[in-house]
Amino acid sequence: MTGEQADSFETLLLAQERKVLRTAWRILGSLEDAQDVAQEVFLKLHRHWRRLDPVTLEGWLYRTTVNACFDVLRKRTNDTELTTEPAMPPGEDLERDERRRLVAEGLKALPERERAALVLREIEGLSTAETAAVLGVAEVTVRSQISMAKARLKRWLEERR
Amino acid sequence: MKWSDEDIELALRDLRCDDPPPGALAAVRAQVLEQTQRRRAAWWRWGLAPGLAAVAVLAVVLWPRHSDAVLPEPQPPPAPALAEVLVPAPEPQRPAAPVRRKTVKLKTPEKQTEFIRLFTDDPDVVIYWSLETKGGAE
Repeated sequence: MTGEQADSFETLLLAQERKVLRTAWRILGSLEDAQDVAQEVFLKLHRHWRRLDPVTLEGWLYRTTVNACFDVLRKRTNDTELTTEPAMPPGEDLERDERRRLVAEGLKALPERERAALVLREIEGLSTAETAAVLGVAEVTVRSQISMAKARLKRWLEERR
Repeated sequence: MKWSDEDIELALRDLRCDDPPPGALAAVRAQVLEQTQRRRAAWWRWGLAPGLAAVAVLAVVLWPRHSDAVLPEPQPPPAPALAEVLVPAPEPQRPAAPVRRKTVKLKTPEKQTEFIRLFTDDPDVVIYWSLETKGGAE
């Protein structure tokens, strides 16, 4: 790999690292595990990035990240401690900050497929079609998963009152 | 705290802006760059050595053909000094054969005696002159 290629990989890493780490963090509920997954994803990217079409790069990154997260979740034992969401710093809208913190906590209680669908479409802002492509399911399945995830999340949040 | 569907969707949208801590991003980046540099170094170490070995083997295999092609002219005969080097190994010594003596008889011309009779005035006196020849020389 030449110096220019190394530079362009670093540029790519800088451009995509936030997205990959945030997705993994929200699916796994643990920043430490998310860092491991992000590292694995970028090392894979380093092996394949010259062959990847820039148009499909984002989809590849999301798909690789979600699959790596599913692997971690399968290996994870029940007694694995998840980090709790840090309390929000005092802001102008305390109630809004607290709601955001609670929703982040509630995501951890969702089944992994529903959580991934919700994270990709509602947090990452992918379309239903893009989410379906990343998860390898039909669009109707994504809609169903998101609907069930929201209902489950709402129940969990109301039980926390 | 009461939760409506809008509250949940608003909270999810807020999470979109909730980035991981900068320290976490920097740690991932540092680890990835370190690993990629190590891989590159390993590639040089483990990829270059077999490559050089393969080149060396190819050079050895292809060298004689290459030298034939380069030397189209016939080689001059070996130098005399080289001939000394190329003396065949001495044959195993055989037991000395008994010397046979050959007696060679040289042919010598037979001695021939010729006489010349010389007559004198005196009839009672006759002179004989003998001539001896040796090997054809008189």
